[in-house]
Amino acid sequence: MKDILVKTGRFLLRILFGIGSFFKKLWKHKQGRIGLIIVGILAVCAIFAPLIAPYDPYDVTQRAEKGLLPSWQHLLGTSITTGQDIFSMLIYGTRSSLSIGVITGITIAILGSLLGIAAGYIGGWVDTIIMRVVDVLLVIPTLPLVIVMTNVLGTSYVVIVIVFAAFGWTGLARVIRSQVMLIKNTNYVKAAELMGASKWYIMWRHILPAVSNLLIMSTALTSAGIMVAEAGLSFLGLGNPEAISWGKMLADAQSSGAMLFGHWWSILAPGVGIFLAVYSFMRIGLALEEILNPRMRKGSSMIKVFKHLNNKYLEEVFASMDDNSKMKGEYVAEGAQEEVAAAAEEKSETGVKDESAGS
Amino acid sequence: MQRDEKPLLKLENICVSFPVKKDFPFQKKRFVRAVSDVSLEIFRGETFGLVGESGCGKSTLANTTLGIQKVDSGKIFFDGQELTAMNKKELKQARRSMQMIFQDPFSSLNPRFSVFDIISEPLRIGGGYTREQMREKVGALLHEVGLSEADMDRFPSDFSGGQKQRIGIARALILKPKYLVCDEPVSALDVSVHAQILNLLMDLQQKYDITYLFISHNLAVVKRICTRLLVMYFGKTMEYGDVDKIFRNPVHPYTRALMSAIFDTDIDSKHERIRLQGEVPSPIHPPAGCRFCGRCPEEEGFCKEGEPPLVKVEEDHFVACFKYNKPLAE
Repeated sequence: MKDILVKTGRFLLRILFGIGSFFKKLWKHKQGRIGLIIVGILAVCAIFAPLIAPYDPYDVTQRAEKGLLPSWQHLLGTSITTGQDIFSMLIYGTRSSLSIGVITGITIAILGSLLGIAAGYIGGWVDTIIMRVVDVLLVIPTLPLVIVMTNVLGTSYVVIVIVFAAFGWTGLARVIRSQVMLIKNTNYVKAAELMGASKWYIMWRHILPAVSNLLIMSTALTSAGIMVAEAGLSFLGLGNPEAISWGKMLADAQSSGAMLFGHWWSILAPGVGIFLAVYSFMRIGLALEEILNPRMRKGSSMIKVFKHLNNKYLEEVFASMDDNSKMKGEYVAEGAQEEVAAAAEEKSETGVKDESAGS
Repeated sequence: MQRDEKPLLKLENICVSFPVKKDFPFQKKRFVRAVSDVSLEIFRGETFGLVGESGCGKSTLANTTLGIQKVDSGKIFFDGQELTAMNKKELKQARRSMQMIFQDPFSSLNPRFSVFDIISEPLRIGGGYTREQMREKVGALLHEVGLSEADMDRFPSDFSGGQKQRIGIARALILKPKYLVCDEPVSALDVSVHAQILNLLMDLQQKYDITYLFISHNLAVVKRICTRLLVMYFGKTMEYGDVDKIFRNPVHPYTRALMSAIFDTDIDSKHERIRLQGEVPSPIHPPAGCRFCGRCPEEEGFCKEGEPPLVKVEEDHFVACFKYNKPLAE
């Protein structure tokens, strides 16, 4: 009994330590830090929504007059249809968006990693079956299917999570499978097998750590995608009708003609909310991709370009790009500019010479 | 050498084949015969050389001796027990006294593990050691292979190829194996560290009384460190026996060709380089008769009739060649 307790304790400690070191890595990365900060703020909003929001939008008695303009009482005014406080709705909306995104992302990560590792490591007929299922699921478009399913099973978040998870794991499973197959054939796994290691040991000690970073990265990216999809569904009126979500706020604003009355804030607020949530998760995902794949740091320079965009030197960056690297999206350092130009000149000269020689 | 002693490892008529993917459904199943009918004995404390070109079945044969490759037919005896008749549990137990050193030290160490994790992994899998005991053992072993205790918490990427191979050796040694397969342990390393690693292996052999199965391309290395030798070509034994005897009197044309390829520092020596013609034939459809047919510089008509048996040339020296059987046919 004591043994088991010690073991589980150690296990939990290791996981905590792993998560801690992971966040540390992310924190050191400039882009990742931005994402982490935004996600942190959103998470605080979601968890402590009743404390932060000045009104409870679910409470009918706390509704004010419909279509109030922004004031100190109502920071973003009230909605035209119901008279709920838009600022409070915005904060409460974080809950549905974040929870759906994160829960679905984690479910997909668990499903995808389990099935991917099983397919890659066990191989044989297990692999064949899983991969055929993946092939079938990959060609089914998820969003229309979710629309149909919500019509059949009713519009609840559970249905949305289940359907997105049931169809979203396929891509992840494929990536993980190929990674696992690479690791499976390395000599250190062979050595471990020679030492008498069990399959569970190898999966746990060798394979899972090797794919864990990939998993976290893909969870962040899929969560972002799911959040957009959830907003879209709510906008179409297919979300949970009882819950407050950003998509539904947008739909309400649109249907009540907020634009017509000039209430632009009631459209902008949920839009900014969606943008921030998706942007922060994408930031984290992309930062992780960059941390995990050292080649990204030098090679593909979209991130470098973004960095310079942030540094408000947009013009300079584009001016310093020669045509070739513009095509590739590469950013040429200032010093290299002349060299590249000289090389291009030389090239064009020789090209002309060749042509004349050819004629 | 004490010949009366029982061999540590004995292989009897080992055959291994792999199924080939079918080109179209309902095709007859085809097989690649990686190892066919190989027998050998490895005695305690010796270094047994296994030589042949790439893809001739050396590594497959080594894997069968470790019990990780199933054999189609034949028997393997390790330390008096029949390895091929064991179930999984017994095999696991038997494997504790066998280990392997890999060719490529870069891929044989998990880049996420610290040196301590790598070397203590066999202990952790076996269980029954506290962390302090493991650290003590690992430290002592690191010292033994020429690294320092301070390296314990560093990662493989901090080391050079030769040092990585030393870590691999330490991992193989921690369970005090009787039998160690060295799968081309130096061929991925710089030439300058070859000798260091080989010397280390030989020192360790003397100290711990380990038996080596040494796989190599390099006959010069084999000549220096091995006591007995098996020359393989295309899954079959070509020549087998004492290293000195084979080097003094190579009977098989393939052995002679391999030996002529040894790099000689003596520029003036006019030794003839035997160049083999052609390529290794398709392993799915081996040529009839002697496997070496088609490339053998001394091939004659009768070579294509049946496979040559392994015949005795002298004490502890065997060869599988018709030419040796029928020297009069010339």
